Amino acid sequence: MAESRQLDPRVRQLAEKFAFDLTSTVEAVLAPSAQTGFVTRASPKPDGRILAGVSTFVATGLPLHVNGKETFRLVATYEISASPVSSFPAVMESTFKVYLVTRNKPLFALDYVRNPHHAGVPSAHYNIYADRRDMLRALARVGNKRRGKNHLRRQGRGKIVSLGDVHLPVGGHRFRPCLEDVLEVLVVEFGIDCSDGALAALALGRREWRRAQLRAAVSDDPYTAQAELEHLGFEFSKVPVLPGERHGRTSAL
Amino acid sequence: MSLVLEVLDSAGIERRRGELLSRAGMSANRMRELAEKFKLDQEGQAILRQLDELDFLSGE
Repeated sequence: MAESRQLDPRVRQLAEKFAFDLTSTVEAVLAPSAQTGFVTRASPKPDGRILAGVSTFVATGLPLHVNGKETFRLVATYEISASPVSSFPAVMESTFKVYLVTRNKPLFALDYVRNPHHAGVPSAHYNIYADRRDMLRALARVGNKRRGKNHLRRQGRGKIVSLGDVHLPVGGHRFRPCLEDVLEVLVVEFGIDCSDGALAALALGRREWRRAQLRAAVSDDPYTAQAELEHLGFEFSKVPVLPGERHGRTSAL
Repeated sequence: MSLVLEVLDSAGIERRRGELLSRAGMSANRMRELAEKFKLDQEGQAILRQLDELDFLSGE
């Protein structure tokens, strides 16, 4: 890993947490090569935050092969913010896009946006770039409100609005799919070339992801977590007074 | 394992932005227009993603 002489230890930790783990997972699924790594670009800020972008080493996406022939590209990017007071860096946005190798339009995309820029867009969502006449008809008949208003406005400007413009929610901030899920779709449904241990490696990565998300979900709603643990027989000798449920996290689309 | 870590200050971000725009040979807005119509090739999309990342790194 290239590094400057006076590297902030938090920058190193952040890079190791994300890029190293991601690369380890990808290399356990695909044969390790010069193309399977991730790049971290970090920028420490005067207020103590560190902003970082993590993306595949190959800027046009991770090449994926079927029977030895490059067939798909997987683009994976993360935007991360590490505050000086929080133990865990926050993913502000992530994008996973799968392309047929020669095409400009993805087959599908899985996006996460911690603070959606547009009202009505789910924090975690799939966009599926498949066209079907019934969907085009449906989107031409949407109500002129919320995201429907946006679809109609775009159609009014002569644009074709299709399924790819619809954001299909998938689990919100905490229960959204991870990169391992997308890779597993590619292994199981699309039959990409992979190692014998690919599915086990993906299961391991997914377990780590879900544990991290569970920790965050408990912080979002600690008293529900406490009630469930008590139901399982746990006893608490000290229960702190906490702000309670973070509705912005637990109820967000 | 290929891992790269780059630390960029604001001058480094601006320098990188200039290099990317020069490589693209068009403005970021033009790239966004083409990307919205899926007329931006994969190399152009990669440059646009890197420009978006620099926007994030600069705190914009």
